Amino acid sequence: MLHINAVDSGANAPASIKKSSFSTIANRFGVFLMIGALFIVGAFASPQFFSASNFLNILSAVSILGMVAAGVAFVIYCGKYGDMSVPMVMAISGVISVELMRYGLVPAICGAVATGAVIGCVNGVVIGKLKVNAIIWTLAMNFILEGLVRWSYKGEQIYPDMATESTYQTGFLLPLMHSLDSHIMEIDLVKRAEAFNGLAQTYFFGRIPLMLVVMVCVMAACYFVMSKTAYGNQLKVVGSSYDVGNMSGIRATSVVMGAFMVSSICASLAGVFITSINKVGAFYVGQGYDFQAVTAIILGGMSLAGGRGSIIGVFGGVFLMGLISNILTLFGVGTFTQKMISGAIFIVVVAVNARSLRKLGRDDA
Amino acid sequence: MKKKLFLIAALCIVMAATMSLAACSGGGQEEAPADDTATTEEPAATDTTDEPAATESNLDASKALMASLESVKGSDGQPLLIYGEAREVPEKPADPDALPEDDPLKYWNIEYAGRQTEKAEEIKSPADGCIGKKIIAIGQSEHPYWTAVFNGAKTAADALQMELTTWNPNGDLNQQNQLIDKAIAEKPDIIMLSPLDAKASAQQFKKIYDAGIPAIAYNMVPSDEAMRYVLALTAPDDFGQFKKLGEYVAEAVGGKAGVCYMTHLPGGSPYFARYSNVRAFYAENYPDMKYLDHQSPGFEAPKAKQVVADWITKYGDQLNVIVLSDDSAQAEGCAQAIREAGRDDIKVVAAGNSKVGMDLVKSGGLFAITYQSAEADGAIAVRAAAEYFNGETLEPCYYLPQAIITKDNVADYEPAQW
Repeated sequence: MLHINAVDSGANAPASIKKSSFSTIANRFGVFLMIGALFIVGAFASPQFFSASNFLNILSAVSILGMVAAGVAFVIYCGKYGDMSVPMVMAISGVISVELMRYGLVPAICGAVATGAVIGCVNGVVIGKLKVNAIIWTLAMNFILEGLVRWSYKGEQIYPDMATESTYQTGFLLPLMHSLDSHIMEIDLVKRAEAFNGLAQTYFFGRIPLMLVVMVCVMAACYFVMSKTAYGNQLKVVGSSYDVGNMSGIRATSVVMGAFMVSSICASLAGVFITSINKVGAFYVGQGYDFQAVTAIILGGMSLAGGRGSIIGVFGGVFLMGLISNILTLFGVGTFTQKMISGAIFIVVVAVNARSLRKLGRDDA
Repeated sequence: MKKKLFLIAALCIVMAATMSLAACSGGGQEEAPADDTATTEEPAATDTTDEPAATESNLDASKALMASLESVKGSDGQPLLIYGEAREVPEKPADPDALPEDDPLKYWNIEYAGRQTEKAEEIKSPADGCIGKKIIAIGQSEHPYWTAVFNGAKTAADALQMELTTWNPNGDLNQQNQLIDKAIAEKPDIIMLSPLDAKASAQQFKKIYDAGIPAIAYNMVPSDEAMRYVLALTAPDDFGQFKKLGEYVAEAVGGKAGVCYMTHLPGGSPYFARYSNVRAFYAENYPDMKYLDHQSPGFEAPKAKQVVADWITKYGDQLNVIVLSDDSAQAEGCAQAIREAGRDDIKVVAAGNSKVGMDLVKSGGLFAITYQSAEADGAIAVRAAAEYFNGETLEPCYYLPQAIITKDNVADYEPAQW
């Protein structure tokens, strides 16, 4: 029998440490307290702040970040600090989807997701089985993938609606597709590209972007897996203590591999959407999302030490990032000042979170 | 244990193979000489013949190639070599930096860099022809615009039978400085440098000058001090282009609008040319083009989208014009925010001209963009180098032509170079 609750609740903490109710609230709802505080500030920023369109704008702007963060949360939850290969997984999935969209949207999305799954699987095997440091390995993987994309496309970018004979001599699958399909040049790319680029311009009820719906679905699925399944429990145990997990009969390697696969699959979905927005596949698409995702996750109260936090908190962290940017722009604050204020808020949230965890006896927070 | 070792070994081999593959290709970073046969054989031929006669024949052949270069076309079917006119230089203020933000002369040192600079003693041209001369071109980043710049430079170098090597510092100033040291160590005949930072450029060009190697500044305007050590500057006239673009959109809205600006990376000359310059231009010529806000969200569509959505929320009907520094990611994000808000009345202008930007002009997502031939950006620098080796006197600055691309004339500029 696994003692998951014991690990989580800090039952081994010294008896002198009493749980403070504020600490419990700060630990569980810290990010939402901050969001509540920012709502009050936002009310002074603009009369339109509480409008539905403003909130839709905020959520829409962080949709891609939300997809990435949901996946990376699995990696952090299982105690592996982060997935630095996210930017290039997004980029490579984007170019693969542009290559495959010649045969329709479904092959394009499936191909991108499969690419992400393969990369995640490699990351997971190396980190889980060989116990290589996750940050170093995923960083190395990011460099390798970047080199591959640049080499493969000779430093150029790929457009969904344009291809010449030379286009089919570059890329990952295009030369193979060209040699196997003699009619590939006859495919109406403009029509296919309309469908692909339309991914980022599809709205439900005329206003809710498809990518926001996808982000919410991804978050919901990740929440379910992390909180309601045996795999989620195993992640928690492995995240709390890898060795304890192994000794408890959990196949920690598989658990870690699964976490990296989820991370890469989410990143590849995000890659498809960001490529659709940009209407171009290129190596630089997705840059910066690794650090942004980790920031959102930590803001959401997930511990870098692993085993603590929730997807609801991650959603809060992602929303908080969008909210900060929104309010500061509404106040007319410049980009540099925005960065400083965002950094200060980050420090405050992390400090409050860490302090409350220590008060609760989780001194490795 | 054995299994684990085998796995590690296998992974190392795969990584090493991938890296060497990428390194060999250079990812577009380093290119082979333009034409090995032509570039290596010509100088060898001069060594074995009577020297003055060989010099003369090389010079004559070089001049003939220069003439034929005029007919070479770029990948868009337009002439590869295109030049614009240099604008008149106003009198330099005593202390431009002390002037207020909205004074057009505040940016004199960047806008007119090199135009009136007293040059250091010029490194004497061998005047023996450009054929076989080795150029090292140091760029800025791996952006597709730069791929097109180097394509243009390579086309020109091929046509002139010069040997061109291109290096990219990936947007890192330290790496660019290291590449300059490496280039000096290789002793090329000339170095072409696109400085990442205007302030750091004086030191960079001085170092090249002190090593006895002539240099050309291209693509990006260096500081006026740096121009002392530079044979010539070849670049787009970003300031002139954006004055023109600003004027075009101001006339379209009757000279009265609320304007927001999305800037380039702060510090570089495009930041000043595409934001400060337009703002100052409006303050002087169109006082009713009111400044509302400026932000620097970088070149990422979702961030640009959020900024524009926030502007629309904050300024509502006051916002009528948006000036962007980029017609790709910034423009896509901006167009999406405007579409979602149903604010088709907002006129958006941007620096161009990528394929994405020209598509947006056609679809109405962008009102106008500037014309900037990336291939010409690289090619005119190579031509200036060739002129130097042919013993001709160089102008201090060569600019790309200025033009505005709108829905009416966008077809004339297709296909896009990048």
